[in-house]
Formats: sequence, structure tokens, C-alpha cells
Amino acid sequence: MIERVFMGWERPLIETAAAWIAQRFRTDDTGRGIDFQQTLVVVPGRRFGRELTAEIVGIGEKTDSWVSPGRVTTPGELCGVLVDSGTPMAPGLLRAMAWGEALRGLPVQLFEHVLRRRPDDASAAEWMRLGRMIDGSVGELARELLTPDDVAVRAGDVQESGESSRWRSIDAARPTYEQLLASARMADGHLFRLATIRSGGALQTGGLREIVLVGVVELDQASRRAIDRCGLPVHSLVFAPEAEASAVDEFGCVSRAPRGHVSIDSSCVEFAEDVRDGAKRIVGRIAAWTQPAGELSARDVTVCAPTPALAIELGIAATRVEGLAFHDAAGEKLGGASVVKLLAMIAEFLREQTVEALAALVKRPEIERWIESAAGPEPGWINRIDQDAIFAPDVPAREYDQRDGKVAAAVLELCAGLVAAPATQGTGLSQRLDAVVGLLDTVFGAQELNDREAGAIRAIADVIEECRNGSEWIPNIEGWRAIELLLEGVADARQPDSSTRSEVEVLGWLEAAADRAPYLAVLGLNEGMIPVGRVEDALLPESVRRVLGMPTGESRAERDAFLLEGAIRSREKRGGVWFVCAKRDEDGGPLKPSRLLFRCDDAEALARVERAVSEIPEPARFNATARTQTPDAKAGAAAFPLAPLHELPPPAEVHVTAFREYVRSPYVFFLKRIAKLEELDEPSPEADQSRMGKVLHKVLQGFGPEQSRALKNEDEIASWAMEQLAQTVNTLPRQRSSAVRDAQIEVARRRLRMFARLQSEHADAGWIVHSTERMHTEPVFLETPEGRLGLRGQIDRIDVRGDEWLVLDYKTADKPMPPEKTHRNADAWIDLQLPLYIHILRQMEPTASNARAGYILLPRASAEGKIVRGEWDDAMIDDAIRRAKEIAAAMLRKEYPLGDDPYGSGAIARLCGVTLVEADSSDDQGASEGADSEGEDE
Amino acid sequence: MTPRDRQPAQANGAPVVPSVILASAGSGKTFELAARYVAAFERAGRSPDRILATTFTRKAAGEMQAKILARLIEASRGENEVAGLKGERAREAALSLARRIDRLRVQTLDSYFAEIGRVGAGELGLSPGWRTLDETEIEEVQEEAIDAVCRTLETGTMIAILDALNLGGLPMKPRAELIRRAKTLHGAFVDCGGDPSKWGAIRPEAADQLSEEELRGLLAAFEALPAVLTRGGEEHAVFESAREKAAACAKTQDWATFYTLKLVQAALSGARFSRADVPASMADILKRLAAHARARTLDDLAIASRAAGGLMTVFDAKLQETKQARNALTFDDMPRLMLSLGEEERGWIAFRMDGKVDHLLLDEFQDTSRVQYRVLEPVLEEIASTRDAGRSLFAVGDVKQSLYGWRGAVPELLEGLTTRLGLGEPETRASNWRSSQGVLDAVNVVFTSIGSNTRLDKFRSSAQRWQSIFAPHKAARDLDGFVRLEQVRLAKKGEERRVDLVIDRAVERVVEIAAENPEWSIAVISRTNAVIPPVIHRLKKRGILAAQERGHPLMDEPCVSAVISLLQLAEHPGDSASRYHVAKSALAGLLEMPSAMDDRVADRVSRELRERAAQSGIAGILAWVRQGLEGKISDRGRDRLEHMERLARAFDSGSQSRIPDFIRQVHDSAVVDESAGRVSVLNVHKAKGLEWDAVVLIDLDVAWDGKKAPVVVDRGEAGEGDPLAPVEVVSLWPPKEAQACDPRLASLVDRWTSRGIKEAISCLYVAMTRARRRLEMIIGNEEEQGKRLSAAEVLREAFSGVRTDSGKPGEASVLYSKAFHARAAPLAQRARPAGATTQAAALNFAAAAARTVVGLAPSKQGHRAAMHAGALLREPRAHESSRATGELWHAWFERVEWKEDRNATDDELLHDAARFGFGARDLREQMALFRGVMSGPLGGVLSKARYALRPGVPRVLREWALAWSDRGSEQGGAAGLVQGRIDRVVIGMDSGRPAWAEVLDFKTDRVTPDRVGALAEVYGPQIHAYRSAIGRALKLETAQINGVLLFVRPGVAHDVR
Repeated sequence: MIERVFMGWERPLIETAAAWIAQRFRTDDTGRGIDFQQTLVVVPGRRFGRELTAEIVGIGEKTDSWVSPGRVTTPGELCGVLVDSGTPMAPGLLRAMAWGEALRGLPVQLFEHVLRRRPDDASAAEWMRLGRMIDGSVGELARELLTPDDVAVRAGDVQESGESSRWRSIDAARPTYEQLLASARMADGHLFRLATIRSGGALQTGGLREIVLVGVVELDQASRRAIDRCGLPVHSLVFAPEAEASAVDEFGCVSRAPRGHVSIDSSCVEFAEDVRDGAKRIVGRIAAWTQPAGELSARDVTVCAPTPALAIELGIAATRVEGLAFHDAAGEKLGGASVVKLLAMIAEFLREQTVEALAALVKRPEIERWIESAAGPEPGWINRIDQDAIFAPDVPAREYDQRDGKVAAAVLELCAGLVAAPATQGTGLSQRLDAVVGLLDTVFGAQELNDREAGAIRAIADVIEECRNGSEWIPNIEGWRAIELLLEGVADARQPDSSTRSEVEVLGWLEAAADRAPYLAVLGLNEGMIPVGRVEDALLPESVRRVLGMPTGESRAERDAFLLEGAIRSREKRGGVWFVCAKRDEDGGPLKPSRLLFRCDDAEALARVERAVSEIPEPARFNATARTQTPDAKAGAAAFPLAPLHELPPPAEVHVTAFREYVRSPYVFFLKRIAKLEELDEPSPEADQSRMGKVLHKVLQGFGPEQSRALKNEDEIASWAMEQLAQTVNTLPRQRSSAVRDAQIEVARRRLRMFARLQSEHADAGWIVHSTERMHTEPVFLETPEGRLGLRGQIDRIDVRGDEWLVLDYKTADKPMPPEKTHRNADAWIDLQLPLYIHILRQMEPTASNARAGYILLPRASAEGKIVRGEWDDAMIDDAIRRAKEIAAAMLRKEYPLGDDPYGSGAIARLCGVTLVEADSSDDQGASEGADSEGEDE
Repeated sequence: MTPRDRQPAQANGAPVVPSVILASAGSGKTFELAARYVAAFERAGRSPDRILATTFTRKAAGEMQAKILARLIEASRGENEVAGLKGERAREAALSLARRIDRLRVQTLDSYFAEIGRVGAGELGLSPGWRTLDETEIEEVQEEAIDAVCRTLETGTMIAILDALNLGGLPMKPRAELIRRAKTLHGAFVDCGGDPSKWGAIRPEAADQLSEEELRGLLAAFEALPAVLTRGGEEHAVFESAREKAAACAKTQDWATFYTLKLVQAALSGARFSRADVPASMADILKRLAAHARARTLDDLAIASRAAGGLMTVFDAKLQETKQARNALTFDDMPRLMLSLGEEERGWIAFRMDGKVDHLLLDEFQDTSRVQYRVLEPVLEEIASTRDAGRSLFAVGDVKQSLYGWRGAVPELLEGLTTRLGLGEPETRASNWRSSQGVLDAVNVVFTSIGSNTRLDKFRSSAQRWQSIFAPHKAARDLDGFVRLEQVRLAKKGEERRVDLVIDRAVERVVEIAAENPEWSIAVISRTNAVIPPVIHRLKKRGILAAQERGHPLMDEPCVSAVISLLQLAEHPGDSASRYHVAKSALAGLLEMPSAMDDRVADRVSRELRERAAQSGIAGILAWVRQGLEGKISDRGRDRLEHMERLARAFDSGSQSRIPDFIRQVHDSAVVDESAGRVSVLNVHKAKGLEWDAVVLIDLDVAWDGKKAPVVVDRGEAGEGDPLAPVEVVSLWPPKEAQACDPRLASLVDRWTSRGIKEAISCLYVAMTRARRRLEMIIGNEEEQGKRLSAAEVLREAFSGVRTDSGKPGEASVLYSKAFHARAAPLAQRARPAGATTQAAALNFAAAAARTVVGLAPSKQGHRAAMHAGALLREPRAHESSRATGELWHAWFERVEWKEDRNATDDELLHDAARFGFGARDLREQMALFRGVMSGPLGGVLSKARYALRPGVPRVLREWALAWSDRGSEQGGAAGLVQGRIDRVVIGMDSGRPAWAEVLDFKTDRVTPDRVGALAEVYGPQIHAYRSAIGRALKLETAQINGVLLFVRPGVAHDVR
């Protein structure tokens, strides 16, 4: 017989239930005490249970009584407490693994009814994911006293629903599943309870004498049957007044009959444009509640965020307000823990085993510390490996023989137990797990961990242990796949952390509804949040649940309506509830207002509909954001200046190619040539154009006077070039795809064949190579009023024909432009490389006064390959040198304005403000002149 | 008449029959859809789950949802009527819908398909927990798939593919080229059903090609032909030059050029060349060579197309594998998967969706793609064919507003929908509820004559076709209006940025309008995205904060840019440019970075940042930075950093952890500027579906023609009338030489180009029809445009000769200007309800204990548990058996009240042991050990005799649970609820009151007698905690309570002092 005790709504349930328990279990047997040690107390959640016990302890302290607390459990665990006595039950992860394995063993024709596409057989994680889904559904069925076979039979009554075959297949996998668990000396708790209850045997109540249900609004069939059968007296403390008796069933749980009215006060509901706006409104409401200051403490307020995304928004909104911080009671997702990220990185390294993956791994602080202690690398090693990885990402880690090769060796040794191929003996899951433990143990060593990290490692250790129980089922697995399995195991786990005095708790809906804080702010009074909405489940969707009589979205809505009523009514006299209903979610998708909002009288409901669809009066704004922008913008500009300079001496010497940079953007010239800054790109799986250009240049450098004299015929030249190329490519770093590498080499071959043709024609025209890679031995200067500036330049090739001199530069880009286009725009010089080469040549070779310059274009299209000169006469070349001197003078004056066309691929672009739409050069630049990054016409 | 009064024809009370409506811009489409929804709602017995309404964007779905409810509310007040409902009936309907709002299904097709994916995962072959990829991830997945392709392909095959694809030679970066190709070709591959045999199927006849020998012979004969002479008997220089060119082309195998040479074309057509006849002998040779050239040109294209199809086959397979490995899909995958379902499976999914759709309302139907249509087709046909009164179909759209061809939209599906479904003629809506007649007059000027606009002569049929679906627009309400078309002088090349002047003028206009009409909403609409940032920037300079429809790039704030450099420095300590950026910003102080040039400092900072990222994630770094920058960044900067932090929190909790991945995400992110006002700047695609009081059109000089597609698709003759006809041929975009070789290719190109022109006209139409009252169009001057076809040219032509109000003196650049004066007074602005919450920037909470009640275990008190990784990792395993053993021994000891009492039987001990999973042998060992302990000295501690000399009567409590509170630390530490279960307490009861007590705790550690003392140190705090709790409970001094640790394995009892 169940006694329903109505606790009313005058006070929070925790207080009234604690008082009831304290009263009922008062004893003077051994001094004054509250003794309910032999009572099973069923509460809505663990957190509620802790608070209830704390409240009873508080009563004990006030009445000078000791407290011997009862066994506290939740509705989800209740059946297990009453039924499971004496049998070891498999934890969830092991069940998921076992289901995965059982399904893997199903014949194809049966498996296809479960999932049309078979997961990758090598991926234990994917099978576990599938197993987790099946386990969840089978467990849920069992709680409603149903088996897969029952579903198959009942679904068969629903014409052409397709469920029968699916559940028959699942049922076919069940014996294997149970055998697998039995082999680990365990059983499935849900199925065990189902069988026990169905068998009608007596239940062991393990010394329990009573059961008290506190605010339990929902109970599955298995728990109900277990309660009935255990024969213990049951008291259900219902969070409602007696007038609500019809709203609950004999267990005190919410009945499925629709609740017509929910006492939401319209004046306590705000509509927000989106959840971000909603979070600000919640913060504003808390601010309003705390006026006048000092009357409320943080623990007097609770915020409800039905989804994790809302909790994030609240956290960010709180940063706007001094003195406010939120504590998300759900804790942190374990996926974000450092050790989990480390494992993911190790898995990536194991999968790829390239220098790129090595560089990523050693940059994890845990690995970095370990290497420094274990391998003793030279200072700056991280930077070196990083740069090597950018240059040659695909070199296998075991072939990494650069200066820090011992780092790679150490990492490979560290991962040895995970690297071996799966076919090797002793590479089953068990061995892999041992290797993971060993690896983490080695990396972390005797290092003292803080609570957060220790918690994460403990959780990982638990997952490892759970996987270990099923490790015999997986006799062979690659190391990275084993880690993938572990990561799948922790995917949904969370790590709780404790709050401090000044933090406001953020709770999920069910916990918030039962919370005791006098002020409750609810963000997300929306469909799909409160109430939870339709069940979109791949195995047990709403329609199937209805056929099976299982809880549905509809029944959950009634539960939520009941909880909402209690949450509101219990705060009527001692605090308040504030609701925010958002129109859009965090991604901008439309949200619907909660249907519970319209469970009121008709006029009010219509008024609410109107508010819900009308414009939001004004966006919620903080005083801070309402401030004018201008002064702040200037402050921001000072803190993050555009094109900041650094005091450095002017250049004594520059390369001839630097002039182009200066013309384009003197500031970029400063960064690259004066400050000598380097921006690093991410590694690319293929060699970039400049690297392939260097390969070609290296080959072509070899075509000097001797070759020029000896090799005239196109085929001979080509043959020589191919031989040179073959030698050069051996020095190229390895690429992940040999096809890409080989295709790039083929490109080089074709360009060299093109060269052979051009060279042959050039030779036919009487030209011979005078020198290659020529550098001036005596310094060459540009004289300016500010002093002289040295020139540096290495000329690719100098040809002669009689008394004619020709400076040539190889151009190997896919679509190189002729000298005229690269050097001049309209009437202005934009590059001075070739004229300056001529200038240098004239200094070196007094007879070269008539020298001209051009490019050997070796482009992608064979027909476009040619030798093309810059069509400049002496006057133009003199003009170019004059311009070069002007620029040199500006360089010596240290004039580094941003210029017309600042550029860069990373930080240089950012320093120039290329990424800033609103960069205002005139205001921000200060000393730098002529900047104009606005209005880029892309 | 007010907007509330407006009623599109037949909407109210209309029978709910299958119907298609072609609704022009501003004709109240959403308004009518809402009415149709209400009608369907009534017909469906007010059961919203029987109705599915879809639209193209999530925003539009939200608006439609609101509009349905708003119309019912209006009708319930009796102000209006909706679907025949007014007053009480409308009120009932509104309440009914609101109270079942969970079942209201107004959504995008993508979200509807995703819902199907969730409940039909098994049938669709989707692994549990699948998700959709975001834009950044889609690119990553494509690149991964290409990398997999590169690993799969043999070098020779890859080079052959690249050679075939790149008639201009092999690129230096083959991987990059393959990625580019894959991104542009994959859509066509999906469109042809993944059938590579469709690629490149336009092939020349094999017989046309000459053998090498034939070719050599013909060439020799060609060159040996006598020279063509002029009438004067001299060698015809032009002719001979052409002949040499032809010979050169033939020798270098440049057949594409050969075929298009004028001499060759003259020979083929029999025409004269350069006023001379082509000699018959030469013509014969040229014809044969031309046939060969044609065959070779087409063959090259076919080979390239086949290579592309082959590449796509491998790429598609790898793409699916890559997505599968990530357990993720794109939105486009879902309908493709659904098409693979059999009828039976579709039926199962319908059941799982929990409700058959009886009423289907499809908005923006012109944007439906083929694959989406095919998925919907069975339901459409079913509803249309049954003509069941309980079912309805309503499709609405406007072919004139079809802008999404590049994304797969097929407007022809809307045009042919009624025929396809056997319905009557589609209805049209041309009354305009949005704009002033002044604006509509300008629209009518342009589009009623678009078919004869001389600028569109080359595309006459496309323009005429467009015009044929346009009916002059008529305003349905009186509004003042003003329209102006003006041209600004564009600078000469190299003088100044050409677009700037148009932008400057647009900004001027916005400033003017905003000053004159402070309540108006204003939009600047462009064709491309490139001009949006400068417009926003210049508006800001003039004091107007403008919004970008999808938000501004997150990177457009200096502090964000510097923080990216900071993250880059963490990832790459050698990135000296990033280091410099950080060191020159306010971040330097935060990082204690005194020098911008010091490598060692950079190494240290980089390392510290990586440590911080490992400890608290990237979000942790960002939160720390944000706090450290308080007072140094603008509010806008702070907004940006907050948004970045929001992204980081999601990123940190996901599977990725590498900083470069996060940086990439930031680069791709946009954020809505909360401080932006009533001026929007956006492109025409984003503007669709929206309206403003005033609209300024810019970027009208963008060329309409000359664009190439990656591929052309031929659906054969059937495709002429049926957009769903299967693909017959997919060809890479044919160069003009190939087009000259085959009229089919030329026709495919024409078709594609025509479609592009139609879409361009639609863009202009959509842009112009966004304005309610004022439309400003700003174009460049004619001379500088080089007469390229563009919206500017079309407008210039359309308005030439149209009567215009006289421009003000000095405004010679105004080509059209007209004001329209409404008869009625303008509508009053809707009063904005007050009540915004302005929020405090600081809170002051009263001091209180921390909120969370933390459970504290006495067994953990006093000493921290092992906090080293090795210990923690081995803890579960090490303790697994000892924990079970411990629990077993506790259960056995619990049976013992006094040693002197009856001993437990073996059966009882075995019963206790059942739940701990011991093997028989282990259990026997444990039982023997237990019996030994009980009979040894330790057993004596459990003896009643032990307390014989103490006052009072000893009483035993076993497994006594106690709870007490721990106040926590003053510094805000957690309050603790301490709960413990004390193994055994013996209480001496004297005169009914406790006089003394002894706490006994069993320990099953494997410990030797000499180590007991050390271990007792560890357990000491636990026993003290128990003593303290018992002292409080029994009102005893701690000194009156003994504590004893019973180490059962060595059989030692240790008193705890």
C-alpha cells in the first residue's frame, strides 16, 4: 500500500520533505537522533538527494540530533536496488561493447534490418556507438517490462511499420550479447530485472524497511512492479497540495491526463530575439532581483538552462556584469579534458606517423615536458621540429633524421606498444589498453596533478577498466583504433566541479524544477526545452512508443507542466520565477514558444501569442554596450595599433627583389626585410610552387658556359636536364601521396623539356651562357642624398652574343608574366629587379653597357614557353635606376608607410590590417603615412 | 486600406485544393501562405501534425510561423478574416494552434529531411549520432577525400587525368588542382546519378580521324599546292600567310585552332577567302583535315570530360568514406540518401515520423532542386491525384525571383508543376502590397520591355521569355514614392578605384535618406560581396552603423586579429611575425613580453600559452585575454572576443583540439553586430524575401555575360520540356573551338548562358522590388563600361527616353528621377512598445555559503587520494579485487554482533559472497581466512569480553550510517555534507545514556605487520572524523571514544590515538 503525502506548495519540497523525514524517523534509542538508515529514499536526482540529506542534517543540528541517513537513490536506479541483490551487473560501456560485438556477428541479412550500412569492421568505436544505441533502447524497453521480441510482436500489429524485422534482428543478437557478458561474469541489469520481475520470484530488500519517494514524478513499469512486489511500506511525498490529488497516480507520479492550467504570470515572461539576447535578459533579471544590494546571496538564485548551449550563453553574458558568475552544475564535458585531447593527438600520431603529426604531438605540454626530461633535446627543439613539419610534413616520423631526430625516436619508443601492427601477436585490446596506461603513466610520471586533471584521468581510467572487461572480444586492434574506442567511451561523460560561494547555479530543467532557491530564472521556455518535445529516436520514435505504451513527448509535457506549476507556486510568497522565451536558437534557427505558456485562460493565452509573434520591444542591452562607440574605438586603436613600427637601423644593403616589396607596401618591406619577420603557414600535403621553383632553379643553375657550348641540340639538352633533375629530386622530402610527388616531378620534367627547346633555339640564335648564379664581388651601391645603399643580387644567368649582353631570370610559375607586366604599371615602375641586375652587371662588366634583361618563361602551357626581354632602352633603364635611388633614399630615411597594397598570408596581413574591414588608416596610423587599407576592391 | 485589410484574391475561405500560385514580389506570398495554412489547419481538424509547410531559409520559416499566428490573432479581434475565420472561430483556432504548437511544422526542407534522418537512421544507413557538417568542415572533408584519391591513384593515372583535364599543361600543384576540380564538378556528378559513363559522351565519329600516314600525306600535299595568286598574278600574301598558319597548326597538332581558322571555315562553307576563291584541290585537303581537326578537338574534350567523370567516381567514393569516418553528412546528402529508399522503406519512415502529411505547403518553390523534388514527388503526386477533400497541396513561388541556379535550384519545376501534377493553370498574383506605385512604375519600365531591350539583343529569346512571365505591377496601397537612376563618372583605369565613386554616392544617398526619414529602414544592395565592407566602413565614417545580413567577419576587429596572432604564436613559436604583432599590442603586457624581437621570450610565451590551452582549453585562453584587456578594447572588440570565446567553448568540447583548426573556424565566422542600426548592407541573394523603406542599388556594373560554368549538362530532347529528364551527357565547359565543332555543344553553352542571363535579370528584379518607398540606383558612366552587358546597361537603355522629372541644376548625371505622390496620407509608424530591460553592469550579492552541497567521504579526509597519473590509472584495476574483497569481508563482519554468539554457517557466508563474483577457489580461500581471523586475536576485539571492565552495557551498532555537515572554507570553498558508514561502533550505555564508545574499522589491505603503523597514519584522519561525528551524535567528548583499526590480513588491531 502506498501512502501519498501531499507536501503543498508553500515551501520548497526539500524543506518539507526533510521535515517530514526528520519527524517520522526521530528516535531516542541511542541519544536523540534521526535514523532512517534502513529506508530507501528515492529522489529526482543525485543533487537533490545531497541537498535533502544536508537539510535533514541541518534539522538534526538544530534539534541536537544525530542523523543516520537512508539509502538515497534515483527513480532510474530504484528497480536495481530492489532487484539486483547479489548479481554483478555490467556497466554501460561494457554493455555497449557487447551489443556491438553481438551485432557484428549477426548474419548480413539480419543485420541489414537494424542498419542498412554495415559499420567498418576495423572500427571498434563505430560498433560500440551502434551498441550504445541498441543498449539504450533495449534498456528503456526493459524498464517498461518489454523485450525486443515484444516490440517485434506488437509492431507486427502495426501494418507495414518495418519495426518487426528490426527488433527480431536485435532479438537474434541478444543471446550472443548475453553470452558475451556472461563470459565477463556479468549480466545486463535491465534484462536481469525484467526476467526477475516476470518470473514472479520474491525480491531481496537487503534490510530495508521502508521506501520514501520524494517528489518522484515519473516511474517506469519495472520500478512500479518492484515496489509492489517488495512488500515494503511506501510513502510518496508529493510536491503539491492535496487539491492536486487527481493530477497524480497511486505512486504520486504525474498522471498522463492533460493539465489544463499552468500558473505562469505574464508579467514574469520576457520574449527574446534569440538565446543570446535571452541570456542577457536573464542576467538583467538577476540584477533586478539583487537590488537593493546585499539582500540576496548567490545561493538564493538559480538559473535554469535546459540545453548546454544555453549554459554557454549565460556564462558569456555573465562576464558583462561585475560580481556575477555562473556555475554549471552539469560539469565540464570530459571531451574537453586535457588528457582526452592528448589521447586524441596520440591516436592521430599513430594513424599518420608523419613528422607533421609528430610536431603536433610534441607541442602538447605533457609530451613536451616528458621529452625534455627523457630525451634532453637542445633548446629551441620545438620550433625546429615545427618548421621541419611545415617544410616536409609527410616524412615518416621514423625517418626523421634532422637535428632533433632523437625526439622522434623517443616518441616512437613511448608509443611502441601501440605502433605494432594488429596482426602481431599480443596486440589485442587488452594489450593496447595496457600500452595506453603505460604511456600515460610514463608521460605524467610522478607529476602531482590538480583536482581537475586528476578527475579526468580517473574517468579515463574507469573507461579503460570497463573496456578491459570486454577486451577478450577484440583479439586484434590497431593502436589508434583502440584509443578511438576509449574516446568513444568518454564522449558523453562529464566531470562535475564544485561551485564557490558567489556563483549562481545553472541547472538543467528537471533539477531546476525541484530546486529550493527562492528565485528561479528560466532561459528557454520553448518547445523542445520545456517541455522536452517529441522523441526523435532512430529505434524508438514517438509512434513506436505510442504503440508500446511507453512514455512519449506528450506524457513528458504533462510531467513538465506539473513541475512548472510546483516551481512557480512554491515561490509565490518567498521569491519569484522569471521566464525568457527566445525566438531563435544559437544558430539562428526558429524556436517555438512552449506550449505550456498557453495553458492559461483563453484571453491570456491569446495575449501571449500576440506577444510571442510581435516585435521584440528593444534589444536587451547592458549599460556598457549602450555607451557611445567613438572613444572606445580610439582606445581600441591605441591598444591594437595598425602597422606598428619598431626602432631598427636603416638597411645597409638590400636585395634587388626587395624594391618590388617596397613599392607595393613599404611597411611589408620593413617587416620582411628590416625586422626580418617570418610568417609560417600550416603544412601542406604537396610541395608549393616556390619549392618546386627552387628544384627547377637548382637544375637550371647547372646549365652554365660549359653546357652551353657543348649542348646545342634540344634532345641533348633535355637529356642533360633529366639527369640533373633525377639527382635533385632525391633531395625532395617525402610526400604522403607518391602520386602527387611524382606528378610534380613530371611537371618539372616538362618544364625542363620546354627549357631544352627554348635553349636550343636561343643557342641557334647565337647566344651562349657567360655565367650563372653570378654575384658581384665588389659591393654595388645606389648613391642617394641620404647616403648609399648596398645592393645584393644573384643573377640567374648572363648570356652573351658578340658584344651583346643579356641578363636572364628563370620564371617557372604556372602562368608567369612577361617583364613589362611585372615591372611596370601604367607609367610607373612597380618592380626594379631586371634594371638593377643590369646596373649590377654594368658594375661588374664594364663592356656590358648595352646589356639588356629578360625572362626565360617556363610556364604550364608548353606553347607559351619563351625567352622574353624587357623592352627598355637605356633611358628607361636610367629612369628605373633613378627610381631605385628614390626608393633607396626612402629606405634610408626609414619611411615605412602602409602603402597601396599591403599583403601577407598570416600575421603580416594582420599587422597591416588587411583583415579589418573598418581599419581607419588616417586615425590609427600615427606616424605611418599614406596607408589605405579601406575599400579593397576584391 | 491598411496592411491588415489586404486580402489576396481567393485566399480566404478558398477551398483547399491542390494549387500552384505564381506570386510576384511583394504580392503577399507569406500572407497568403499563412491563410492557406489556416485553411488546411481547419480542414485537418485542427491537427497541425497533418500539415507540413516548408520554405527556403530558417529565418523565413520563423517568419511564416509567426505570420500564421499573427493572422489568427488579427482575425480573432475581428479586424480581419483569415481563411474564412473571424472573431470567435479565429480565436478558437488560434488557441488550438498555440496549445499544440509543438506539432506546428513550418521548417526548411533541409531541417525536415534531417528530422527524417534522425528517425530513419537505420533505413538510411546512418550511424547513430550522425551530424551535419558545417561549411569549414565541408572543405576539410573535400580535401581529405582528395588526399585519399591521391593515395589511391597510380602516378600514371593521376598524370593522365591531369593531362586530360588541363589542356593547357600540367599544373605545378596537382593536389590543389584536383581539389578545385572536385569542388566544381561534384554537383554535376551527383546530378547525373553518379554515372561516369555520361561524362564526355559527345564524341566524334572515329572514321573522321586520319591515320598518321594519311595526315603526313595530306600535309605534304597541302604544302606542295601551288601558291594562290592575285588577279594581278602575284602571290596572294594574305592567302599564303593563312595557308602557312594552317600548316603550322596542323604540324603542331593544334587542331582546335586549325578548325576555327577563317581559311578552313571558308573551305568548309565554300565561301571566298580574302576576296579569292579557295582552290578546289586546297579545299578538298582542308575539308579532310578539318574533319580530322573536328574529331580531334571533340575527342580531346570527351577525353577530358571522361577523365573528370572518372575522377569524380573515385572522389565521390572517397568523399562518402571520409564523411562516414566522421559520422557526418552534408545537407545535400540527405535527399540523395532518401532517394535510395524503396517504397516500403519510405512507408516505414512515414510511420516513424509519427504522422502522415495530408497538407503540403511549399514556399519558394522556384528554389527547389531536382533531388529535393524527387523526394517530394511521391507525396505531391499522391495528393494531386487523389483530390481527396482531406488533403491539399499548395505551392507558391516566383520564377522571376529565381536566383539560386548555381546552388541547384530549378525554376522550371515550378513552371511545369501544374502540368506535371495534372492541375489547372497556376494562379498569378501581381498586386503589390509592398511598394509605392512610384517604385513599381520603375520596375514596370524595366521589365515590361526587357524582351526588347537592345542591350539584350544577343539574348533576345531569354529576355523575351523572362518578359513573358512578367505582368505589370500595380500597387495595392497608396504610398509616396521616389525613384532615381543616376550615373557617376567612373575614373579611368589606374587613376582611382573605379567602384569607389559609386560607393561614395551610395553612402551620400543613405545619409540623406536617413536624415530626412529618421524612422525608415534602409538597405544598400549589391550584386557581389566584395563591395559590402567598404560601404559599411564609409557609412560608419559618416556616423551610421550598418548591419550585414549574415553578420560581419569576426576577424574585422583589431583585437581579434591580434588574438589570432597570439594563438598562432602558441602553435608556431617560430612565427616571428605573429610574435611581433602580439608584442606590439596590448597583449604584450598580459604576456609579460617586453621585447618584440627576443626569440627566448617568444619560446617562453608560446610554451605558456600551450600550457594554458591544455589546462583550460582555447576558451580558457580567450577568457583570460578578455579579462586582461578590460578597459583596453572597444565594446565592439569585446563583443567579438566574446563571440570567439563562444566558438572556442564549442570547439574545446568537441573532438578537435588543434589551434590551426580553431583559427580556420574563426576566419570563416561571422558575427551580427549588435550595435548596428536600421541600415543594412547586403547582397541581392541575402536581400530576397526582405523589404526596406528605401533601397540603394549599387554594383550594377557587374558584367552579365562571359561567364563560364565548370561543366555543361545535356538532358537530350526530353530535357527541353522536362527538367527532370535524365542527364544524357556531361561535358566539361567546351572552349569556343569545340563549340564551333559541334552544334550540340554550342547549344548547351547557349542554354547555360541564357539561363545565366535570366538569373541576372531576376537579380535586378529582386533588387528593385525590395523598396517600399524609395529606390536609388547608382551606375557608372557609359564610356567607362566598355559596353559590356550589365544591369547598368540594361537600366540605361530601359530608362532612355522615359519621361522624367527635371533634375536639379548640376545633376546632369541623373538619368531618371520621378516622385510619386500617394492619394492617402502615409501610414503612421507602428508605435514601438516600451519596456526594454536596461541592465546593471555590476551585482552585489550578499555573502553566503556556496550553493553546491558537495559529498565528502570521511575515508578521503585528511589525506588526498593518489593524485599521480600512474596511481590513478592503475587504481581501478588494483582496487577491483581488493574492493570486492573488502566489501565481502564487511558483509561477513556485519553478521557478527559478538564473537561469542553463533558463528555464521558456510551457506550464509556463501550467500553473502554471491554478488561479488568470486570464483569458487578464491571464495574458499577467503572463507578460510575469515574463519582464521575470527578464531585468532583479532576475533577477540569483537568479543563482548573486551568491554567487561568498562561501565554500562555495551551495545553494538554495525554499518552505522552517519551524516554531518562541514562548513567549508571561509574563502568560498564548498560546503560539505559528510556521510560515512562506520563498520562497527560499540556504545557503552549507562543509565540509558551513552557513557563511552569505540569505533572499529576493518581494513583489508595487503599489508605486513611492520607496515601497519605507517598505514594507520593514512587512515587516522578517517577514524578521527568518525570519532568527532560520534562525539557530536552521542554527546560524548572525543576522549571518551576509542578508535581501532582492524587490519584483517596481518591480524593486527591498531589503536588510533
